[in-house]
Amino acid sequence: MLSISGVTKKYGKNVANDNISFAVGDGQIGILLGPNGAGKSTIIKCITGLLRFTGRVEINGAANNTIEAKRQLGYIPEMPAVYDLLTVAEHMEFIRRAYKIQDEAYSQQLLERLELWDKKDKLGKELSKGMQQKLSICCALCHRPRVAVFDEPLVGLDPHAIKELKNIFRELKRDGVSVLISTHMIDSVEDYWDVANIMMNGRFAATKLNDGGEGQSLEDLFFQITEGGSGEGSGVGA
Amino acid sequence: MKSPLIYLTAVKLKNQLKEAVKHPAKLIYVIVIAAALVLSTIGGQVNSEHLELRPLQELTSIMVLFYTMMFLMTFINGVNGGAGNYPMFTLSDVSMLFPSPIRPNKVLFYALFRQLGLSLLLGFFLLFQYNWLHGVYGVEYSHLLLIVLGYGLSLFLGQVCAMAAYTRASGNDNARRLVKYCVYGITLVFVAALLFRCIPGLVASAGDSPEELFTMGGFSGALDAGVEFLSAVGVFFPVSGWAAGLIGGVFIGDYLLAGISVLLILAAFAVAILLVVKNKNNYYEDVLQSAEVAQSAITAKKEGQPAEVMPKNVRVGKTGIGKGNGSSALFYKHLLENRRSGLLIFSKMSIIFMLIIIGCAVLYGVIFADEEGNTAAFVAVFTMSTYMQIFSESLGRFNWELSKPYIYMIPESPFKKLLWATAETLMADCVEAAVIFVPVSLILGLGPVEMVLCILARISFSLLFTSGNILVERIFGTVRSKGLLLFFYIISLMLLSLPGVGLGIALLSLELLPGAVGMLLGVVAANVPVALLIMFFCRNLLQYAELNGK
Repeated sequence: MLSISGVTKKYGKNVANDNISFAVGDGQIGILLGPNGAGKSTIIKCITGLLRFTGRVEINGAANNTIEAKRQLGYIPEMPAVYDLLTVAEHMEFIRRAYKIQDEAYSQQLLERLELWDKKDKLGKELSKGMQQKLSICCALCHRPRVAVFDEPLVGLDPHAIKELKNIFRELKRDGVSVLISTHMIDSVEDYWDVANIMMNGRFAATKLNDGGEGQSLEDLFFQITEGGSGEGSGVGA
Repeated sequence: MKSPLIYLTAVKLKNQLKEAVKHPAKLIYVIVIAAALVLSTIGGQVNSEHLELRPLQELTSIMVLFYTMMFLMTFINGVNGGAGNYPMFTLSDVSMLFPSPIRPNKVLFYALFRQLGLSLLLGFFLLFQYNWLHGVYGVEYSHLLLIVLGYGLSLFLGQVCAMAAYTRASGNDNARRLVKYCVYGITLVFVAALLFRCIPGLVASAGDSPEELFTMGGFSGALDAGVEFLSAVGVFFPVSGWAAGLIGGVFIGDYLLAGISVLLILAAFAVAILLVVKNKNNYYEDVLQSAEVAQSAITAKKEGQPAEVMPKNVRVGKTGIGKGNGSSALFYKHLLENRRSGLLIFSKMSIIFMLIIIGCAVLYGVIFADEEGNTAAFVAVFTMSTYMQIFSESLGRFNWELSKPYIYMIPESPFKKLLWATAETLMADCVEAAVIFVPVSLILGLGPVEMVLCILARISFSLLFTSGNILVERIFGTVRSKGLLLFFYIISLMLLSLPGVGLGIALLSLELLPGAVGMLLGVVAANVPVALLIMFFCRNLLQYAELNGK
């Protein structure tokens, strides 16, 4: 369970996140949508403990800056985080050692699914940007986090990797993991989200629950809010 | 209408000045640097009376070595397609000037003109050497400006020659290799000739007694032979030697040498430019790669990600991190990355600094030969090595680690992560201390107790500067200007050194213990607690990436 209560993040006078509250329950997939500069990446960095903020973020009941919370959190950054001088396999070994886990087979399984196993002896610097992104995803998932936060995970991925990553999202959901995904690609998330939050100017402009009904599509709602001048903060519940 | 290149140069200059006025911090930075320069000049005037002046040929020899080192580094880097942070062409030149209807040769001269100005600016730090140069060689400010000019010329010609070689050998790895081997060969012959002249001097002055070989007398003979060789033959080392010959010739009034040097420099410049201009293809393609590499390095720096130095072709070797659990995995990962980057223990810069310190031990040993017990020479060497340590002390892989999210995400206490992430640097510092101060102690004839204390004192400064580095990251990490950050870094490190330096000087003056023992004990006794205290206060640095501006 990921729970965010009253998170505000300011850079000087500029308010990047203004009193944001939401939750992603166990086995739920939450989506963050919004135009550039809406504050999606900032709230994600607050959740993962990279930025200071006021308010509270909890990972399964533990404050996000505690060791207990960090153990249960997986984070895929917007820009692939890869070490130039480590091989693909060594990245996985590093994460396993740092998180003190032994499950080597799961690392191999992740690499195979994202077509990186045959490149396990390649250095990080030799990988293309898409491959680096795939490796970043494997690193974030290899310790089996209970809360997984993805910042624009589909950018730069090939069609096979996109398909496989969507399957991974569904599996994480089935295993009871709370998944939060920030994305610009609305059509790529249409079929598996549970709760969508549309951000504008650092606030939530709308929150929509996916009840499987025939109502307004997520894309229509997004354009209605971002282009139609819908009042900020007005919740559009489904 | 004005030439677009003149317009570009003028507008850039104007905007740089405007920037300085718009950002008061930059202005303050310039004022403080100017004040430091004035202080160093006044200090040099006051302290210059008590020592007998050394011959100016020595200064010419130092210039030959220094200019040559800088020239070779610039040239080899240029031939390899690298351009450092100051490429001849920036990416904006490549994308805007190259496709424009301006003749390539005009664009080339625009870049050359700008590069000459930049090379002279890079020599600015030499102005701070006034104090000791005035004291030891009686150098005046006008002479110092000439030394800067020679330095700028060496860098500039290094880039021009590298560009000529690069364009001519472009796309032909064998030709490029041949150019490099030729340069290495000439350098090797030069070094061999220097040693050939120095070693007999060393042996002759030691007389019949072999144990006197490594005493001050021995070194003095070798030094004299080396100076004689460098000031007579070394000044003909291609390009950098000519620059040293030009400046040295003016100093000692040897205008024939200065004139020959000018002619040789002009000839080299003309040949290099002709090689570029007369190339059958224009040089655009050749500089594109170096402009792109430099641009990505500049962008990474702006984003707070230090550019990683690594060989073009990395030898993977044995795979696997092998050891480590929790935070210690960082340490073993760093060792593996160091091996792959070709860095066994020390960086190239550290090795150069080590050689300079050991060389200075020889020089100071001769300068202070009359002083009792070599304490004065040792204090001078130790002070200089500590000053250089401020610039050479880096946080190694720790800085790169800060630009990735993993170090913050690892579920361990931030303090434990901090200690393991800096362990590799501290380990290298301990080895470096021994590599520097064992030979320095032998050269200066210090006893075993002083030798051990020297090593400990150096390690205590490493610990202090490492913790100072962490402190600067913690307090000033969000400062974007790298110049300002460096400024804060140097000031902070100097302030942190004060307790150790103060206690050391006090114990040295009290003369309660023989030689420099008191000073070294004082340094260690003050530095270690200060360093540990800072590390403790910064223990939460790795709690948030934001604390260090990443």
